[in-house]
Parts: sequence; C-alpha cells; structure tokens
Amino acid sequence: MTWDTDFAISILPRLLQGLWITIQATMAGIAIALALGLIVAVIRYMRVPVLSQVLGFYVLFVRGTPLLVQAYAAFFILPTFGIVLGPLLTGIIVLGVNYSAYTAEVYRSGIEDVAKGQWEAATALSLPARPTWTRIVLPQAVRSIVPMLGNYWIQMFKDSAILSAITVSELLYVGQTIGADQYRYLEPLTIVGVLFLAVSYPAAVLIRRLERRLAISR
Amino acid sequence: MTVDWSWHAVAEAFPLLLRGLVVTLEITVLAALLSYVLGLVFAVIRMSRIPVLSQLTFLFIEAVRSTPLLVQVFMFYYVLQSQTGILLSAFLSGVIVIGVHYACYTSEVYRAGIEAVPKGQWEAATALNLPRGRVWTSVILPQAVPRVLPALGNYTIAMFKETPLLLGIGVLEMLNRAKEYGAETFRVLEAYTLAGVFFLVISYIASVMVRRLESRVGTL
Repeated sequence: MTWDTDFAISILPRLLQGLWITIQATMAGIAIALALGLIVAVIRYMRVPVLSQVLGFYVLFVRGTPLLVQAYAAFFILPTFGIVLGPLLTGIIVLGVNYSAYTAEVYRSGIEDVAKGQWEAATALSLPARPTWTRIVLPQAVRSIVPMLGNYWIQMFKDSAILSAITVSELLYVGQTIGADQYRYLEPLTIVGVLFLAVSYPAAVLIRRLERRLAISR
Repeated sequence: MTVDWSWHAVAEAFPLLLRGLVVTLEITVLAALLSYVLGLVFAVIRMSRIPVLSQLTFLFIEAVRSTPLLVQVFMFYYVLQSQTGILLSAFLSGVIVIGVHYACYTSEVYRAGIEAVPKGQWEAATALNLPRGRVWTSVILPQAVPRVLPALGNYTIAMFKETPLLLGIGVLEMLNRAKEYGAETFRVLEAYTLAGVFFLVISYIASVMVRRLESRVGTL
C-alpha cells in the first residue's frame, strides 16, 4: 500500500473538522481545570476543616487513576443515574476535572512560593481575606506558574485523543472512522499525527520562550 | 436517587479484573524496561554529538513527545502492519509503543542526570586517557544513574496508568475486563469502580515508594 495524495486531500476537510472539535474540547477543558484547580488549591491552603481533607483525597484519587478509566466511568455510569450529557460534554468535564487535580498542585506551589512577608504585610494592614488573595497573593503566585499551566494545556490537548474512546468526534476518532470505512489507515492516521504535531510543537516552543522571559524578569 | 450497589457483582468481577491486572502489570514492566534501556541509548547518542544520528534522534524524540500516545498506538498497530506486513500481537505492539514513547521522556531524565555529573570527571577521564566507552560505563553512568532513579519511577507509574489505552487495539488489560464485565451484566458501576480502586491503590503505593527512594538518593 503506497501513499495516495488524492485520497489524503479528499479526507482533509473532515479531519480539520475533527481538529476543531479537539481544540474546542481542550479550550473548554482547560477553562474548567484552571477555575476548579484554583478553588481546590485555595481551599486546601486555607485548611478549611473536613473540606480540605476531602479535596486532598480528590486530588489523590484523580491523579491516581487513569484518564481513560475516568472517561469510561463518567460515560457509562452517569447514564445509569439518569444523567445523560452526551459524549462531548462528558469528555470536556472529564478532561477539566482530571486536570484540575494537576493544576491545583501547580497553584499550590505558586501560592507557597509567595514570600511570607507579603501575608504578614497584608495582616498588618488588616486587609480582609478576599483582597489579600485577589490583590496580593494570587497575582504574584500566578505569574511564576504560567509556563507550567501552559505545559498542562498542551498535555491536555494531546490527552483529548483519549475521548475518541467515548465516541467524541474529535481528530483521532475521525481518522479512525475513515480508516475503518476505507480500509486505509496510512493516510488518515498520518494526517492525524501531523495535525497534532503542528499544533502542539509550536505551542511548546512558545511556552519555552515565555518561561525564559518570565524567569529573567524576576 | 438511590445507588444500586451489588457486592455480589463486585465479587464476580474481582477475579476477572485480577486477570486483567496481571496483563496490565506485564505490559507496564516490559514497557518500563524498554524505556529505561532505549532512553539511555537515546541520551548517549544525543550527547555524543554523532553527526546526522544525533539530529535524527532529537527530531524523533520531539515528534513522539508532540503527538498523543493513543495516535501512536493506532499508527503502529494498523499502519505498520498494512505497510510492512509484519504481524505483531496487540500485546507486543502495546509494549513497544509505550516503551518507545516513554523512552523519549526518560532520555531527557538521563540527559539531566548526565549533565549533573561534574565536568572535572570528564576531564579527569580524558587526562587518564580512558577510552570513550570506558568513560561512559565506568565513570559517568555510575554517577548519573542513581540520581535519575526517582524520575524513572515516576514515569513507570505514568506508564502503568497509560496501559488502558491499549484496549483500543484489543489488549485484554484491566479496563477492558471491566468493560467486558459491564457489557455482559450491565453492572457498570461496580466494574469501573473496582478498576479505579485497583489503579488507585497500586499507583498510590508505588508513589509512596518513589518518594522514599527520592529521600534516599536525592532529586536532580
């Protein structure tokens, strides 16, 4: 079997549609992960009794089980409780929740890196808790962890291929479907690989650059 | 909303999942060994600056790291077979793909470990006229490898958690067994919960062990 350029061109539009779904899932997933991770990190840092321990277990549990197991569990178990969300929405929630456990740890490292004197100064000025977090701690914490969050974003982009297993019509799913229909896997899967590479490699280079810039200016 | 939980189903699924777990662990161990050896080879090739070969290795590593593992699994299993006619079992294909994929990550770990060896060690080896092969095997690697062990441990745990991807090519690992049981009996809640618990317990114990190793040999 040799490479068939005409066939490759003919399937490109469908694959690009798949890539668009992949990008949408990643955007929505990272938004959930960034917000939920921050909430988890702040609550754990404030040592709210019971809630902090529960969230500690949440982080442990999510990080200790494979993403695909979580995706299957959500996709097959939730409907038995009458919750039917559809593949894409289920996939986005699973990605977001899974990565929130990782971003929570990143936020935590950022928060712990903020100098102790900043907290003490805020207390000395009797600043209420909310502005202490939003004006003093978080702006300093987030700056240093932006590259790390960026790396998780790229990783999520690659992990979104797993959602093909729960029939989300993202890039890999489209490639597989074409391959199974036409009995030709060479062209669709090669293009799938190239498209993933074409997005994630430049993104990784950009983040490496961002990392260097933030490191120097500190 | 009441949770319909059946301990009978748990007891029934348990031995089935254990059989899957054996396959999962076999894949993890074989893929990990492959990634330890191949990662070291990649790192040494890159650092020896062999013309063409070093650059090709670098490109290969970047390409593998920039594409999803699942895409690589399907490419290897379907494309390689249809192109070359080499028929490998799904199990062996899975071991090779996970092993090679993670070798691209472990090679970076080895590189960091090798770069952490003080420059004076290289210079002393040159001063003593030690052959290049001996410099690697007797001087550099014995100092670099212990320091990279915790990082290799973390990647091994990551590989363990990636094995469910192989159900896509029909490997009967643990998640596939859970899926099978769920499809036959409609007891999906028990099947997937049990699979999740197995993964959690093993990866948690393993991560505690890695942390202990870390405190013994130190991190990079």
